[in-house]
Amino acid sequence: MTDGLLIEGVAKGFGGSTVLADVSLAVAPGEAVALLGPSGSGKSTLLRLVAGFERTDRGRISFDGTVLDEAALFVAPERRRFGFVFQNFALWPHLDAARNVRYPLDRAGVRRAEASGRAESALRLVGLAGFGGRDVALLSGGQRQRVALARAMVAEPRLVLLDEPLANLDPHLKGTMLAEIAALRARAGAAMLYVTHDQGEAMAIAGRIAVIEGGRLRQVADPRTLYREPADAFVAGFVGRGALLPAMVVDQAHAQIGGQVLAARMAPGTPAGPARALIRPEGVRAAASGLAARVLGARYRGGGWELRLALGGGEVLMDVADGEPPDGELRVTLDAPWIIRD
Amino acid sequence: MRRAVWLPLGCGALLALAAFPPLIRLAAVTLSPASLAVLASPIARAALLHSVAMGIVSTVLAGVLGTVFAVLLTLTDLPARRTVAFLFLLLLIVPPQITAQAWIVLLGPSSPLLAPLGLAPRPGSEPLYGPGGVAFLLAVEQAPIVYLALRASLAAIPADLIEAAQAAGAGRARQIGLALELARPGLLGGLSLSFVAAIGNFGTPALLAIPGRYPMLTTLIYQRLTGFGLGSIGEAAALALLLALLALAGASGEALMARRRATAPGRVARLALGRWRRPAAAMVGMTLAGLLAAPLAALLLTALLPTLGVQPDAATLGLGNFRSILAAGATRRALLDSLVLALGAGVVLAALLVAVCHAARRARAARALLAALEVPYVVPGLVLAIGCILVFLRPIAGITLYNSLGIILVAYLARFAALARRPLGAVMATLDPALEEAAAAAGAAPLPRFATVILPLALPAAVSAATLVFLAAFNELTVSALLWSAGHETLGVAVFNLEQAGEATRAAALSVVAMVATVALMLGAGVALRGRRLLPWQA
Repeated sequence: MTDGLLIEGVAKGFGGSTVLADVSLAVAPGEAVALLGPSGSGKSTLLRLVAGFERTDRGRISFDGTVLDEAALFVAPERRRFGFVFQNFALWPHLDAARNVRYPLDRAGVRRAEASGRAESALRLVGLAGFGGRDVALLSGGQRQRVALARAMVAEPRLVLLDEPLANLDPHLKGTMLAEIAALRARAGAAMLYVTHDQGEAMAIAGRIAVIEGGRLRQVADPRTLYREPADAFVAGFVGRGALLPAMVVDQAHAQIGGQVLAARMAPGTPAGPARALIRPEGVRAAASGLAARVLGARYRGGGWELRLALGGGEVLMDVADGEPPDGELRVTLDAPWIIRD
Repeated sequence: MRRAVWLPLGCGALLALAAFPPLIRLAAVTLSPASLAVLASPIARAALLHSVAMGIVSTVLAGVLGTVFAVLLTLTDLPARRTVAFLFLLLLIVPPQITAQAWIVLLGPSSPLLAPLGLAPRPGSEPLYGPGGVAFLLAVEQAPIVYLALRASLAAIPADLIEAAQAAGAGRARQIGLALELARPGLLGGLSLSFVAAIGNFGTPALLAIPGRYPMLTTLIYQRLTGFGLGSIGEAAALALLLALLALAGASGEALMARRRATAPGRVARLALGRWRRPAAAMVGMTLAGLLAAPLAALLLTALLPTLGVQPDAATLGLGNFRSILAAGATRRALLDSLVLALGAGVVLAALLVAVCHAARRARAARALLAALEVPYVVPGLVLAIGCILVFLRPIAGITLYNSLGIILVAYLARFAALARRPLGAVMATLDPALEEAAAAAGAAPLPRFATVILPLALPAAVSAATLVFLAAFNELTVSALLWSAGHETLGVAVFNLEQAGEATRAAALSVVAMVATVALMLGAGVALRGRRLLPWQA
């Protein structure tokens, strides 16, 4: 018996096309996991399967040891008692903010007076004290998402599911909302599954990130590991800036890149032979001697430049400090790059 | 996600039971050689020819009038567009028998408007009786149909398409030409619907073609059944099937066009009329005065006169006719019957279709049902009425609907389901599924979900659906002309019978009462559903 959410070998297709193929993932009680992937990767479908809006084709979803969805066995979404936050807020326009928030309590049969009180304090928690009587259509985007958040949390669910909750908000609002969601969740102690296509959001909010692409989980890891040691070329390209150069693994600590043998990091047991090296921009440093590189272009990023370099039979990015960007030929060293097997 | 299955299934079954057995039965009865023989008779051929001719001529005229109004009201800055749109739609909402009656008194030998001016025609030379009058009045009634279809297409043209033409140097006329080009599916769809309406119209030919001795399909069917009794129902059914096929041919043209219709709501192009603004407004005003105000004024004056031919002045005008029709049992009963029928049909259809339209998002069967419900609406009312007689003549499960209000109610449910579907279907299609999923995530089971989220959100559309059905049913004549029985008349039948009995002034008074009730309801519904654009007259 496992506590928390357990997804085992889940598959789902729509009209003949496979959206999810054999996905397994566990979310421990109180843990925050982000599902990160490009559009069409199947991340929202996985979330909707957990919510019960769709049924699995294969596999099993269980929570705290209770099976929610496996073959003929299916627990309806209204009986799962998870919180769900939608990308477009999905507030009911015929109810005011307070009635939206207390709706889950009304359905659960909580007494009227108590429900009102709890809805009010939920609104206070999201910074909307006194907004209860407002028409939700007249609230701003950020306020609407706060109401939606209060609605998802008011019944104190053990798991909150968020489907791109910040995608419809102005960029300047995202940072604050992200912090509020994190604080709210930590306070409630609920587990969280947070779907996003934005790696910044995922890294800011989640202890672990599950990268999904083409209906399969590519890697599940904490943000730092994900950035420094991506499992494959897709994760390397999707998370963070960087470039892959052709490399030849020499031994467990060295690889040949651009004609020189350099110190390299790699997963234990990586065989010698052809592979690729992930070069992050901050790991490329100008030096008196080292690999020969040629500047192809420079882009100002605010506070510094991002250079595009021809290096070792490929192109890499390099960050340099503000000032006049270097031009022409230069020599660089590489901080031990991460090796990805082909 | 699990849905409430039994609710839409039950509602759908009720709708299907009301809508389809009459038509199926009609088709079955018609396919006998004896019935089909009537189609070879010269009078049937003449009626077919006349109906098609009237359909084409009136549709061309309606197309011109409807296009002018659609362009002016949708694309330009014509003053008082909202009021003009409301008044123009009245041409459609005033029932044909009342329109025809108003024109008969307006252009008759004892016209209360023209006689004092010495302009009234001499008795025996009434210009309206015959094909000319029929085509003219059909065109007036159908112009708003073309207008509605074209307006929907014009309003869906993104403003930047027109602005791009403007930037490329196109003048006003070119821009309007481009807009009409883009809206062509809407125009063709509207013309098809206009033809369908002409083919199935009974009120206008009944008042103008019968006295003009100009047989048309609808009047021929009516005369067969009322003249020869139920024994001739086979022949009437064969004629009705012919009528139905004509209407379906027209309607399939519309369906074809509807598929090509663009829906890109957003900013709508609006052209400044500039120095043409006043002339255009004057033209619109005169058209409405001539087509709407004059006949209705004549009708009102007639209603206030003791008998036709009396000079209207302070001594002769009075409310005697109104007192008389409200005192008479038959007319009062007819008013009440139509009120009950229209209200009942409106409420029942709105309720059933909320569930079915909601299910149509997911269930193919519900979508198929909604598509099939267009048939009893497109098929002429007389056809549906004959089908209802065939099905309900004998008792079903010990209950005889024939000769009761029940048969009319069932026929109305079948006939107007498509009308109720329009606002409900549109609202359900744009309802975000996440709203319902949010309720599920919040712990609401399917039925509570329906009651607390779907129903309140669909309520304005349901009110609009009930209103549209009420307006159509309250003044309806075509279906009830064959289904009424002594003691169970409708308002339309009562007006028609008074007119046939030569009681022009009392018929006019009853029509005025019906009109006042209709306009009051339109205005009331407009206020109740303010800003929601769910009613056709909310331009």
